[in-house]
Amino acid sequence: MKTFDVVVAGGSIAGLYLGMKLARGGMSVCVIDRKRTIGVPVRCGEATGNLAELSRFFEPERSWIALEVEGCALHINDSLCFKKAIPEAGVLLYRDKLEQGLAHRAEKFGATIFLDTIVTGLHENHHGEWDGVAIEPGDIIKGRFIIGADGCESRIGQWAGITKPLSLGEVASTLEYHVESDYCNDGFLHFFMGSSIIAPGYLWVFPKGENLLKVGGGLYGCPGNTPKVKYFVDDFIERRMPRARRHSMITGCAPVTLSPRSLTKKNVLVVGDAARQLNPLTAGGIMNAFEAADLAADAVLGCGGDDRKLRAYSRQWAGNQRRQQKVYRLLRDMIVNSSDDEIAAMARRASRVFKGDVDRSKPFEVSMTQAAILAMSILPKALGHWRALVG
Amino acid sequence: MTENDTSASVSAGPYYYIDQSQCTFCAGCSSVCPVMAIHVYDSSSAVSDACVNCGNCKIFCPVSAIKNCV
Repeated sequence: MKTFDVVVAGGSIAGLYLGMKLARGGMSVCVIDRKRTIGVPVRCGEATGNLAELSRFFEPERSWIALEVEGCALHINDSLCFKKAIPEAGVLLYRDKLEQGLAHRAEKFGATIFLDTIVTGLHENHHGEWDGVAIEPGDIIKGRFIIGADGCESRIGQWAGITKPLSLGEVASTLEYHVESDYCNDGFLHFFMGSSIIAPGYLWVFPKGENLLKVGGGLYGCPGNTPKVKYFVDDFIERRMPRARRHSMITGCAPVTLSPRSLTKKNVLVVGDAARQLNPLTAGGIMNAFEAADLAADAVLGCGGDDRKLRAYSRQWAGNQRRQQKVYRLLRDMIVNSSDDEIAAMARRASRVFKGDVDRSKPFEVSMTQAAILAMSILPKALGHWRALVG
Repeated sequence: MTENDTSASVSAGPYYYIDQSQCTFCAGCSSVCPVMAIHVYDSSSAVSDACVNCGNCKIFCPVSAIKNCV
């Protein structure tokens, strides 16, 4: 039996960042993961914010970055709806290298990492308090605080009563191939929507350096009566890049729902996919995971051993990011319920508002007239969906 | 059917098995399982007797690796 100040279940982005930050803050911390190697296999689109945004959390190493993204393009069925160069739009990561780098830094600050270790439950002491986690085979790792960063399965969260199992309507089922092809291989992130490509959801073609592409798709919800995501991605590759060589395939599950209002219970916290802290429209979660892990680490470091003070983490998340999640969920619901023509019209209006190149280092400059036109064009639809959600 | 018959059929799981040659160990099935009956490890996965035959896992699986037990 080993004892730490903090036990983190899950050694992916949120877990490793917490391990690093808490260890740097002077706490004894262990990170437990069921995988045999950190970061492998990669189950992620790997596109995220730019270097400046990542640098808010840690100094990224050049070797973690596959390339810097040139901009974004949206295609509806066979037509290109818009294509916009965006300086510092973001980066494509080598996520395995990023996670291995974070693990290395966490260990340098004194964190312990247990791999190939399976958590089987929360451990209760004689007073009925959670004092650690049970691991296979029949051992215990004790900790004053327990953090569930165990991905969308969220076992720790479910055992503590913070999260519930995801329903089929709350997940995006995703699948991605690494392929060798020149199709749309121009440094831009290409998104494809429309009923002849994938619905309800979107398909992506991301560059990964040289002539490697990441071609994947995500279906919102999992209605039993429609083809699976693999059908749409296979069909897309066969039609658009018939001679592409496929290297590998990954699948995944992304929660596209709101995070729970409360992210803590007694001395247990949940972070990242486990806390459903993803963007419900894009299913992107890397920056969200860093953001949430940062708030959670501050709450643990600043609570002075008082469990009630951990609630600051839930409040801070709800005050900003959870509100954003609501907006993105509304947008997603609008897209799911719109025809291809309506989506194209909305996208064109939005692209007219952001005329020219978008400079992400400065605030967006949108004239009042343009903003009013955009608001008026999407507001009635947004209100309709909002009423449907609330009612 | 009596109540006893129903409870007997509920405890007769698992109703599904995971074809290990197709499974990619993404744990999506386990995330949508309402009773935490699916365990996914580094390179293996299994449905336990806690299975209640809801079928979520089979509907979710992106590679159709989950099959009905005969």
